[in-house]
Amino acid sequence: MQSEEQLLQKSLSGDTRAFEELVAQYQGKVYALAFRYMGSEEDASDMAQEALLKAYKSLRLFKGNSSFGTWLYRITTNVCLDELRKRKRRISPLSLDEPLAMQDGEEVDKEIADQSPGADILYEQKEFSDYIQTLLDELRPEHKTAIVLRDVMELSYEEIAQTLDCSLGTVKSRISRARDMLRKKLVDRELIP
Amino acid sequence: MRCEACRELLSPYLDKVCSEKENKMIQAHLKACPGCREQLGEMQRMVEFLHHMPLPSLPEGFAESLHRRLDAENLIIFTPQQYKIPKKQSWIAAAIAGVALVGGVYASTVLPLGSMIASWQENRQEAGKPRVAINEILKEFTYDKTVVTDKNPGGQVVQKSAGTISKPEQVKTADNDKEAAPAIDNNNAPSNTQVGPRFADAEAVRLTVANATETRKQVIQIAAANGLPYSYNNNGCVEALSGPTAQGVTLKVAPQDVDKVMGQLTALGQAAKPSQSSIDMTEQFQDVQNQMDQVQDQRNKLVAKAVLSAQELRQLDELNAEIETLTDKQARLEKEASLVTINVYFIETVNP
Repeated sequence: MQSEEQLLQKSLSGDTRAFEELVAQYQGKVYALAFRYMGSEEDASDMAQEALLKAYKSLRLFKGNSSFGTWLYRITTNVCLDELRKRKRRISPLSLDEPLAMQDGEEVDKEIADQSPGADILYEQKEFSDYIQTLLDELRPEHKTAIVLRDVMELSYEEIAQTLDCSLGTVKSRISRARDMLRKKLVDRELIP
Repeated sequence: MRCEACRELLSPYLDKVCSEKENKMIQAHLKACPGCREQLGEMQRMVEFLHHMPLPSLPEGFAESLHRRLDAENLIIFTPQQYKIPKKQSWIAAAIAGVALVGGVYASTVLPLGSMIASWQENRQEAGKPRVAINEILKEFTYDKTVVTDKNPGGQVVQKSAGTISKPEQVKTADNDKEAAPAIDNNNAPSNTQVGPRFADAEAVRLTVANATETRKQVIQIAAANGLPYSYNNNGCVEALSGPTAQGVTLKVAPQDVDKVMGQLTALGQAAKPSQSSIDMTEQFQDVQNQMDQVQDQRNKLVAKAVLSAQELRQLDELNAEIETLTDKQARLEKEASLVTINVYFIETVNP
């Protein structure tokens, strides 16, 4: 059984099998994270693989300032956010006449036909989880990443700061805002008991 | 403590990252305020089920697919039909634009192009579309860079820089001066700063040696000794080759160290005169600049208001933090652009 350090060294000299072993214990979480960012399993699979490939290609940039897992989350976050940005541009190209800022800092409410399940359903159900995903998708990227990393992936504030490459203060304020926005959406739809 | 102040802190309070003083104040307030207690309860329940949201498990075939992609990564294959030598007029256009690529490609029609593309793979997943590099550059120089002012019916003057591919109906010549200073406009159109083309330098070194594998090890040792980031490249090969002997090495060097490193490298074998080329980083710079523009635009709108609500103040904080992050990103890109990429290729002499 090789240590993470050994696998890292082997991967650095081009040993792809060693790299696969190195990331084996992380790929489930990388996939889960990508899933919550992208909202679909197919996209999650694509993005997770792209993130791992990117990690392989830039392995020598891993300095050990954070844990290897956190470094992988960082790459995953960036890969997903880049893709989401690209898609947004494609769908609604920036027109010179379109207002960019939202009123009162509210998220743009997507026109989702309201299929909110009743408040008496069980939270374990996949359908409810899928519905929550659509609400998460309405959040701005910086809020979505903060709440997913904190409340879904259960990372510490410090790990999140390393993942997002920002200060602890920013992490605090983003998590606070994200939670508030999601809570309001749930309250509006009477989904919080 | 007022409700508004308390509600601001409920999230860090839940995560137990508030100060002692804050905790005391919050607890005292919660005792007396059912409204805030309710909000805390809602937040707690919400966080609970986020914790328990079922996560999909890794799909079947994920590992195999990754395996295949990693293999492909180690072996970038260029076959003649996968890339085309660009048409002559494209090169003339590029030359007029003063792009350094021209010299590199004319020096050899195959190898530098391959190396440029290999280093370009960072953001381009498809190995079979090298022409995009040329097209991107040409797009840059066909942008309409005219800065126009446009008076909308409300009589407000709005500054727009037509950095996108211009459509005739959107571009109007100004009836007054074109040098109006950018106003914090009441119209919500953002201004997009066009970054100039950004290139990082690259050099290609071809070494004729007895044993490529051995020499490659020595190059890696040189890289390690100098603390340089390195990766494998496809050794500028057109045909598919399998195995590690097919790999050349790519190093990234600070400009002041290039001579020293080149000296060490060329001592390893018989070196042909190095050829120079460029790596296009424009899109990366433009991406970050676009994000910066958007954020600064939003910030300027807020700052322009005479009075800001608590919510808006929070927003302003976040926007400022965002600007900080983006500024860091720009600094990092600058650093990367300042590094010289040295592509080392090995040519093994065959012993009769």
